[in-house]
Amino acid sequence: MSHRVIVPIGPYHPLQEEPEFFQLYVDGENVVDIDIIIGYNHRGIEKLSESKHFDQVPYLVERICGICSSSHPYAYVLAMEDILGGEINIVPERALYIRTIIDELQRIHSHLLWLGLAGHFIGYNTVWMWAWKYREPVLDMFEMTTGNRNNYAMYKIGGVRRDIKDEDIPALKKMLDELAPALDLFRGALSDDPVIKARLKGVGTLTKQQAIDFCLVGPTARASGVNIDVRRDEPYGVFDRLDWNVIIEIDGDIYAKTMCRVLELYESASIIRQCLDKIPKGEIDANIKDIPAGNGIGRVEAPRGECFHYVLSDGTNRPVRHKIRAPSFMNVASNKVSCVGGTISDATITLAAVDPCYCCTERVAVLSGPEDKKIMNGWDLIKLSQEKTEKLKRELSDGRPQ
Amino acid sequence: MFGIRIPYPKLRELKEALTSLFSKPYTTRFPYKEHKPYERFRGRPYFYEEDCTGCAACAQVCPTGAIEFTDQAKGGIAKRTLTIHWDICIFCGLCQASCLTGKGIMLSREFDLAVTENREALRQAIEKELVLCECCGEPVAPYDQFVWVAAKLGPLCFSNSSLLLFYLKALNLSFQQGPPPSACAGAGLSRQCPVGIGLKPVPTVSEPQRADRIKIICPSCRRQAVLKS
Repeated sequence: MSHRVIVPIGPYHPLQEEPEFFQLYVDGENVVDIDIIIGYNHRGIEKLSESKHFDQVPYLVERICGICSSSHPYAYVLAMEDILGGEINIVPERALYIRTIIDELQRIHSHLLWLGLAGHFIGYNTVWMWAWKYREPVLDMFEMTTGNRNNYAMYKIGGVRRDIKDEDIPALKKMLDELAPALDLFRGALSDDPVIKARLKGVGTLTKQQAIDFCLVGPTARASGVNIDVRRDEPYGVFDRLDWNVIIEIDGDIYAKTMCRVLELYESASIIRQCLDKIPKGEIDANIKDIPAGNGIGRVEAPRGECFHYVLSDGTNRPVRHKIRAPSFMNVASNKVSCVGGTISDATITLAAVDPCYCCTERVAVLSGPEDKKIMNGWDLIKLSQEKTEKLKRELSDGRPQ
Repeated sequence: MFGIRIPYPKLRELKEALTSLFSKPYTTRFPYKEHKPYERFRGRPYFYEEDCTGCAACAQVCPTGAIEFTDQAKGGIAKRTLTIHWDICIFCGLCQASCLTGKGIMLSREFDLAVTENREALRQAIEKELVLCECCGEPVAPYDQFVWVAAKLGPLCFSNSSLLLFYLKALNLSFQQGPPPSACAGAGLSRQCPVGIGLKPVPTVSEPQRADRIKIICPSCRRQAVLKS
C-alpha cells in the first residue's frame, strides 16, 4: 500500500545561501514530488543599495554572499561602467588583469569549498578535510593581496582599489604550483574510485532539455551539456585574451557536476598563471568622478553561474534602482526535476549539487501523521546520506575478490 | 603479492594518509601561539590625532556609518568629536583612502577585536577644535583643517578672506603689522591652537553686515553679507 508522507526541509534550509523550504513528498523512501518555497532571507539589499553612494555599494553587494564576494561587486562595477561607456574603454589595463585574477582565485576557493562539502555529504570526510586544507592557501593569497580572506574590497568603479605587487606574483605562482597535485588527487579520486562513481552516477540527473527549460546557469547547466559561460559569451576582464576552455559535461548527473567543477579548477589555475605572466605595468584606477544618468547591466560568471546586476542612475550620487539576480535563484528550481525519482538519502547531495552553502540551522521533520512526528536535524540528514555510501562501499567490496 | 590485491585508489589514499600522519599539523595553535597577519591585512582602524585634520571625510564615505562626528559650539566650547565604532566597522579601508592627509585614520593589523562584556569599549573618539563663525557663532571648520588647507594653498589662500584672516592669525600677524607675503608663503604653520581661536565665546551677532565679509565667517553668513552689499 502506498503511503505518501511529506518531508519538510526548511524553512531555514541553508543548502543555498538564501534559506529556502523544500517539501519532499515521499512514497516509502522514494521522492515522488517536491515543493520549493523561497524568500525567507529577504535582507532588502536592493533597497539598501539605493541609500548608499555609488562608491559604497560594492561593499554592500560584496556581502550578499560570503563565497561569491568578488562576483557581486564585479557585476555591479560592470553595470556602472556600462553607463560610463564600457569596462574596456575606461578601466586601465593592469586593473583588468587584477580583476581577472581575483575573480578566478575566488572560483578556485569556491569550487574547493563545494567539493569538500559534497565529500562530507556523501560520507567522504577525508575529501572534506583535504579540499578545505588546499583551499586555505588560496585564502592566504587573498589575505596577502587584498587584505582580507573573504571580503576583498578590490572593486571600484573605474579600476581596483589595491595593486598586486610584484613580490606577490611569485607567491601566487607558488600557491598554484602546490595546488596542482591536490587537483590531480581530486580528479584521480573522481575518475577511478568505484564508490564515488556508484554513489554519484545517475543521481539527480538533469537532461540538456530540462537544463534549458529551467534556464540553468553555470556549472549546473554545463554539466548537462548546455554550452554557456559568460566569460566567453560576453567577455569581461581579460578573459577574451587568454587561452582557456569552457568545461562541458554531457551526463547531467551529480558525477558530471562534480567533474565539471574539478576540471574548471584546472582552467582557473591556468587563467591565473597566464594573467600573472602577462600583467602589464601602469595605473590601476581611472579616477571616475561623476556618474551620468543612464542605466547599465553587468554580467559576471560567478562560481555558481551568471550573476546579473542592473543599475539605474539619474545623475545623482546614488543608484535609483539596483536589481540583482544571483545564479542560485535559477539553479534552485531545477531540484524540482532532479530530486524526483531518487531517494531521500540522494536528496541531500542532489539539493547540494547546485553549489549550496550548508549551515547548522536546518531542521527536518518527517511527518507520517499528526501524533507520530519525528524531528531530524541537519546531521541526521547527512547521516542518512553517508550511510548509503557505506552500504555501497560494503556491496562493492563484497563483490571484489579478496 | 600477499594474496591481497589493493586497488589503486586505496593505495593513493594510503599514501596521502601516511604523508599526513608523519607531517606537522596543518592548523596553527592560534590562541596559544600568536598569529601574525600579512603585511597588508586590513584590521582595526585608528585615528591618529596629530595627523587628523578633523574634516570628517571618513565619516562621509563610511559605508556602514561606523564613523560619526558631532559638532559642539555652545557654552564656550567649540569642538568636533569624531568617533569610530569598531563593532560596526567592516574594515573596508575607504576611510583611509579618503583621508585628507592620508595618515589621520589608518587601518592596523589587529584582527582580534572580540569583547565579551563591554561593547562600549569598542570605540575610539578624538576631539578637534572648531573655528566658529564670527557672525553667527556656528562652526565653520576644524582648526587643523584650516591650517592644512592654508599650508597646502600657500599664497593662493589670499583669495579667500576667511582663510587669509585665519592664516594671518595663525602666524600671529594682523593687517596692522603688515605681513610680508613672502614670509607667509610656505611657512610651517603651527598645529598648536593659539589661545583665543576656537575657544573664544563668540557673541551672537545677527544680520551680517557688509563689513563682515572681512571676517572668519561661515558660508551662509558670507552669502548674506554679500547679498546685503
